Amino acid sequence: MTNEHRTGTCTWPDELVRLDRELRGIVIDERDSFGDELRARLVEEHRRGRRDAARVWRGVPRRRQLAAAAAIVALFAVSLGVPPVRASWARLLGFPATGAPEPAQVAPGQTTRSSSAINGTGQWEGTASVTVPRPRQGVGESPDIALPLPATVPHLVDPDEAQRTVAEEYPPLLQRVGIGGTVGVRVRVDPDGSTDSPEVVASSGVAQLDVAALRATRGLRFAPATRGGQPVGIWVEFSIIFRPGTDELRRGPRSQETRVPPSG
Amino acid sequence: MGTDSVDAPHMARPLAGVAAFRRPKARGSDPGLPPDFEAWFRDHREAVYRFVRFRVATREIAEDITSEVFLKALRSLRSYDSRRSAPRTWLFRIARNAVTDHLRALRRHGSRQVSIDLVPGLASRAPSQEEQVLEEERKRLVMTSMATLRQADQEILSLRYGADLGNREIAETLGITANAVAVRIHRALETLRAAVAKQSDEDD
Repeated sequence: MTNEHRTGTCTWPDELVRLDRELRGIVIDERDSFGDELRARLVEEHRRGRRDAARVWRGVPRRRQLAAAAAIVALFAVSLGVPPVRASWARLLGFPATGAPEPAQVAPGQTTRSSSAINGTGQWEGTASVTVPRPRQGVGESPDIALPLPATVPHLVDPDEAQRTVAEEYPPLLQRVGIGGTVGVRVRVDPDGSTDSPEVVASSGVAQLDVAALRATRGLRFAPATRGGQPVGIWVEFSIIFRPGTDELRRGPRSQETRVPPSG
Repeated sequence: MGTDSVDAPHMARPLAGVAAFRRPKARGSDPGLPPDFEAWFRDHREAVYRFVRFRVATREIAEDITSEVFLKALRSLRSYDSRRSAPRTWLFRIARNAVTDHLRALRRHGSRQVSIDLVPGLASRAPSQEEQVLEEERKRLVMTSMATLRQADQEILSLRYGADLGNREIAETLGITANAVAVRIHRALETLRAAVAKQSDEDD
């Protein structure tokens, strides 16, 4: 594993790569009970805050209390007349939503294929393929940490689209002369499913392929990992395989004339 | 079922509702945290702790500061504006300030925060024992050297390697662009590399 890149424009010297690996290899062992202890303190603090608030409220004359309550009820009633506010109240109070759901709520975690179809194969067939991502064995996944692991790992929203993205980034010159390879990539999949900070962790030995893999990685869309039903950001590692020599691949970039692959 | 039955829905429900509303909570029951805060605590506590732990000398201090961060966040929950920043950004802003205050207090008292090499809380993930010993030494050297960097460099490296954040997340936290983050991480690593080399020479 040599000649590792950080971005498409910057190659790190070996010493820096080593330092990066060392820093990533540091485990921070949080005390097992720390989270529970801190939560108990926070709950106590929250309870105290509510008691104090109630004490303040008790000092207010009865007539003012009633006036304030009436004002709150009136505001609530008025707000129900505004559709977006009404929808917010409905969500807050747990009533089923009426009408079309907001796109932002639907997008994370939705896929056009079942996860077993994506995760089950492990590696796609084709001339340019991406293996299924797995969580990086990092601090967040260390058994020393009390927090639960994400319930799901990120997976590609549309494997076919991902494959096309990879094929489009395959430098045509390398395809023609039959040069391929596998590039190990690490990337942060944000809670919205977009990718951030892609890095090459296992070079193919061909700089252009490494750069192409980074470009392709930026274009991939994932359904994010979730914890407690909520999308969370997580680092994943996977391989991008450039496999030369089939007609299908050669036709690929030409059929997508709006997306010109970078010159090799 | 007659209408005078206590099971009659139209009679029982309002009474039950009022009773439930007025009934005091059982002693010792857990009122919990505000739902949003509970989720933030669950999702970000680990990252905040790791960020702090990267910056301070001992686990105890890291725990104190992490506790302070979440207590402060809970107390000022009303002032949080979701339109201005994401919860993670807000929490890390509080954490950065808390760490800065701690380091400032240390400097005022003439103390240096480089005892991290004595702390067993930072461990290696090396596979074999021999490798682990060597890597342990090397990591102590790296962390000791890191404590000699300027605060801004320590901060960005702690966000990357401690809190495990990506460039975009760090950018949101620091209020700079993702490209600037990449450049600053690269520079900070270069500085760290020089500091490690210097420290290594001094040790030899």
